[in-house]
Amino acid sequence: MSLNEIWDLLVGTLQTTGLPYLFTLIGWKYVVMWAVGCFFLYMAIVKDFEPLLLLPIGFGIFLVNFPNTPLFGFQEGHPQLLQFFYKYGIIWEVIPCLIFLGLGAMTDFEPLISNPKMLLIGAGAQLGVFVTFTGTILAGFTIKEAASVGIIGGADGPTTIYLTAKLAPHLLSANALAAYSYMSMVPIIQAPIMRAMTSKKERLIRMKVVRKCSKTELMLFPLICGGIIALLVPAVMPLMGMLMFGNLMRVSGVVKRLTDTAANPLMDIVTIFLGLSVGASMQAHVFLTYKPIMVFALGLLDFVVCTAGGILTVKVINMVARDKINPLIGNSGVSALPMSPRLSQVIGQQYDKKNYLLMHAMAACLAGSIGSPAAAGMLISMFE
Amino acid sequence: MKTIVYAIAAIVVLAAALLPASSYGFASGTAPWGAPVMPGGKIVKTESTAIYIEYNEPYDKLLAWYKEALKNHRDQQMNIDFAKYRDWKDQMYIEDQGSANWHSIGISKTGGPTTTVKIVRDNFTWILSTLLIRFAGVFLVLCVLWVLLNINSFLMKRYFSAKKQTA
Repeated sequence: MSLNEIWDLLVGTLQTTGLPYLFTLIGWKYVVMWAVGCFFLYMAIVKDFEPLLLLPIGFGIFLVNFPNTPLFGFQEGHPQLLQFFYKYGIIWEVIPCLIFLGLGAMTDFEPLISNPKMLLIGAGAQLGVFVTFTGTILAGFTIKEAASVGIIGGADGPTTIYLTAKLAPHLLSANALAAYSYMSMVPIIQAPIMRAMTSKKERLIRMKVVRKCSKTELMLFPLICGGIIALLVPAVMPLMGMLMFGNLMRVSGVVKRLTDTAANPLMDIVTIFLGLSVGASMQAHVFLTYKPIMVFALGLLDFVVCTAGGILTVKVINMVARDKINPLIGNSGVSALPMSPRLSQVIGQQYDKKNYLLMHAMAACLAGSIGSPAAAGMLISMFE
Repeated sequence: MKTIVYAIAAIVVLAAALLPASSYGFASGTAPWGAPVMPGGKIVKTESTAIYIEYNEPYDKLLAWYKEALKNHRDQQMNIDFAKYRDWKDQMYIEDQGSANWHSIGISKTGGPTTTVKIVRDNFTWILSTLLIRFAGVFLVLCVLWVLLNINSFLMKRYFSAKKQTA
């Protein structure tokens, strides 16, 4: 073997590594993305912020931001591993729907069924889109992009992914990450707004204990809700249909094995794929542009206004309702389950140890989880 | 005090949303705001938000020209069309769903040898209207659900109390 051959071999080997790319003009972008990935891993592992999602997302970001890694591209026309999950799971909108199936199988809608006026809080909490949509347009986004960013305030990850995949797939990673990040930061973002917007007297309002519902009533709910959504906003039926199917399995009680599978193993599997593929879609050249950064800023604003919208709706209802609602549950109109209801309960008990707001806040939150897909359905029908 | 702060905040947000589009730096004046204009037309009317151009050409020819002119008005990378065509009875309404400074181009269907093209500047009226519809729509959907759940709960209560009495 000649010296030239050895040299060629060494250079060839070096070129298959990622090292030469790190010293190019875009090399710094990779380093920034490693830091972003590690930040989310830190939030998940050390701060325990939404670890089920932020951990796979963080690691996905970290993995794909090494040059030459065969993970998120195409090889001879075939998608590579994470691209495969992303393409067939997210772009084809399979994973968000499966997550809704699991959510339906896990969720008890009884607090909402027994107190349906909470549905209005879920609708009121969609207020954030007014500000966000306008701000997003001003920032130079297209109408479809603005619509996809506007849904972040609903704090509903699967709905955000579903809508963004339809309207602005290139913003998917930023939107999904913003939605899940703000969801995990509910105590930090929502608590000051809740305190600022309520008086001490309002925080002390005690609400009536929710009544028990019959099994028939619980079983009719998925049929009624599914039917209405199918008639009025059919665009979002893949999500709502799965949610209601999961719930019907749960309340019917006749398919316990299926319910358990949907609520546990299936949910875990799709969560892994969701987190990894969302993280993997955050490649340096896509993410380090002004739009994703604007998405984070506007998403935060959206989340704040949605929270305020929920609280304001409670105040409006209290003007006319006989049985007053504690405005501390208004924040739960965004569907950050279970963080928002938990926060309502914690803050409520800081002022009155015997005030139990959890179930009422759960009702508002469940209303949000129906309101948010309904809003998404409307955006899809308007802009798709 | 708190109420005053909320009121001021609400007014600021609302005012910002309702300000005329020109105050946000949208293109203004008589230029058709970056919209494609077929040569050979005569401007017959100019408003602050719209411009009307008349052509001695049939509708089909204008439509074909605009389809060609707008074929690249799209996100090439994501394969998304920004121009949305709505075939109305009196006109072909082409709406921009990108971030252009024009909002729509309407090609009138007169059936005769002359055709009028109306180019409308981007405006917040449309944006806010879609939002209002959406916001009201969410309330509508959830209100329908609310009413039906109440009816359902009423019927269930009656059914179970009747059953109890029979027992």
